[in-house]
Amino acid sequence: MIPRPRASDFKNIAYYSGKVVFGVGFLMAIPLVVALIFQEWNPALDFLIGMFSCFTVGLFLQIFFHSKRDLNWLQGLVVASFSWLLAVALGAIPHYLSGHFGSYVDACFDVMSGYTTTGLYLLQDLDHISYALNTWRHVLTYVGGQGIIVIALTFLVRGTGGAFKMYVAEGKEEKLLPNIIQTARAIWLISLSYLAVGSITLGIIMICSGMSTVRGILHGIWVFMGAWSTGGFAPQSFNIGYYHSFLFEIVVIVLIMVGSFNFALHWAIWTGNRREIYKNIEIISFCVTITIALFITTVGLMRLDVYPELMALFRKGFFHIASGHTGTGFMTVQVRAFVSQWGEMAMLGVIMAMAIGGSACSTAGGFKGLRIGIIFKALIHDIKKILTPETAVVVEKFHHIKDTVLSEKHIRGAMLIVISFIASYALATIVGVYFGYPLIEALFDSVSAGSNTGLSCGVTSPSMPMPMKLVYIMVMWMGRLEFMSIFALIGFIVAAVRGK
Amino acid sequence: MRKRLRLRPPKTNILNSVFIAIILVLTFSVPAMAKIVSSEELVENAHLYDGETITFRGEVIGDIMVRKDHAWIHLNDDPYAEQPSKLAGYNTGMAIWCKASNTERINFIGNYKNRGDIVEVTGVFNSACPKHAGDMDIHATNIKIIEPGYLIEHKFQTDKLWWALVLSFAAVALLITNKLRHPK
Repeated sequence: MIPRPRASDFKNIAYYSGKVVFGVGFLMAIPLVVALIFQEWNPALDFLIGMFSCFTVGLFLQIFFHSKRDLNWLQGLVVASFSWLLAVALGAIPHYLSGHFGSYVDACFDVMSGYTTTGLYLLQDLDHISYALNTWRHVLTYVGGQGIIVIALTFLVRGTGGAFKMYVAEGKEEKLLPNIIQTARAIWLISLSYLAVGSITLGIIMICSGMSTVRGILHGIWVFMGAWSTGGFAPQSFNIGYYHSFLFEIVVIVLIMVGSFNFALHWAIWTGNRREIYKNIEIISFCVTITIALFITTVGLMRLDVYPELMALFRKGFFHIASGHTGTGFMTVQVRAFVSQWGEMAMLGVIMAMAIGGSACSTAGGFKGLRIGIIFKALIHDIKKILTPETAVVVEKFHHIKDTVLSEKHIRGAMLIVISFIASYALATIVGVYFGYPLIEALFDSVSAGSNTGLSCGVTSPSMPMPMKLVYIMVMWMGRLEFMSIFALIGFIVAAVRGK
Repeated sequence: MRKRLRLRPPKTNILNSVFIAIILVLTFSVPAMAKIVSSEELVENAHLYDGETITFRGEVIGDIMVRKDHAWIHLNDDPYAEQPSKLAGYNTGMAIWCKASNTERINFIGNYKNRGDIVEVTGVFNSACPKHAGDMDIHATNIKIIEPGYLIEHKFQTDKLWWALVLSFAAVALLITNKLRHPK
């Protein structure tokens, strides 16, 4: 028998969701200021409407569902998944009002893609959008990378018990500091420090490469936000291929790799534990899997002689493997070139990279290096058990910030999430194939959406069928929150309807 | 005698050769210059057009990025280049590498406030340019402006202003209510 949720459960969920939505309203002040600086009056109105809509809904929920109780685990999980949906629906207002979307669902698709740091988009005529809207797209992805709950924890939520549950529910588990609010602030300290350094570096490169100062600075900030959050949104439709700069690409690769690392690893290095980078299981796992994916892609490209020059082969191949493996989705080739030039083998290498993704507790999506490392260690453990006498006790350890003995709990947890990811990739692929897309193309974009990467071979487009758009929105959402929060929300709804 | 004839052909033969050469040049060059290829066709059939001289037409967007005596420009040949106001899918286009001096006549670059000049370029298409680390581009030899761009007029949307005002009043009212009902 499932117990029906009580009124206090609804109140708590609505109250904390209201706080998160209120925070989203504050974020819209950033593009609003940009609109005012560049005298983009209609976009300024779009953001005013969006901002006050968030404030109105957020305050309404906080007033009429006021609660002083702390969250329990179920409520924390439901708040994370439900507030994300609310934040998407309200965050899409300026998008839709801009007139660059075919429908409100398309606008929601882009906002979900931004928050989840995916980078797929349905926005039409990107090259003619306002600076304000371009800023909002990148703020969404930058904030989504750290987590919108993390924002709420940083500025709007007091108390620590319920805060930790919301934090975990958003797909992060690492506590950098004993206090979860301090952890959220530490995440922002790391991200803002990189924002300053990364934006200035990229901006200077672009100004030196022929861009005007103002546009160079803006592109530096935007691309940094897309890179660090492993989001993949870019200011122009040519994506990173627009810049035609090797130095720019190198800096971007460094940023997306650093952005895909675990915040706990960042914190360890920040606090002086530099040896961690050589010992961490996620870094080792990342190095191994990126090498395998690069090998597959390079063989595929060489077989078709796509890039006769070795330098071009490495530059294009490595950039897209790094972009896919970190869950970023930046591109330096035309979208359809994956199909018309790269071929299926090279695409498979990229698909593998995207499916695995970056590190746990980072801005990246996919299985995560930690889980791949744990599953591999479990395999080694089982082989060792077979090879040693039955009476022998085989202990396997892995290093992630500290040495940990591998247990059934770790393996089960890792396998559960990896299987869920595979199921979400499969679901989206089947839907794509049903609507007539070739298998490899449907698989490519489905894995990209489910792993929150953002590379596309042309399946994702404003003209794709509506059910596919909805499925992609769902898999992006599930992939970012790593399933548990979504399962909790579904369970909560079922309990509300059928519980006793 | 025969050898001599081969080495020194009569005058009429020379004229014939020149005439045939002109015909051949015109046969192969004029249609190539005249044929406008779309970016979609180039991307889907990159290997067929690789190294060919083609003509491409589109709206200048983004930036003119000057690199020493050359420059990068980007041309979009999507429906927005023809009919900017209607939604018609993604942007599509091609990167153009040309002499910096060729870009001096470009006055409008497409963005939120401008519709860019419509430009026609003739040049060599590279599916994976050896000079630019595998980029798909066109090395332009000739650039001409077909249609000048213009400032896009964005009419102030008064209805949005009213919505913003109504929502701001609602938010302020709720903020006051919150302070009154739940004082800290």
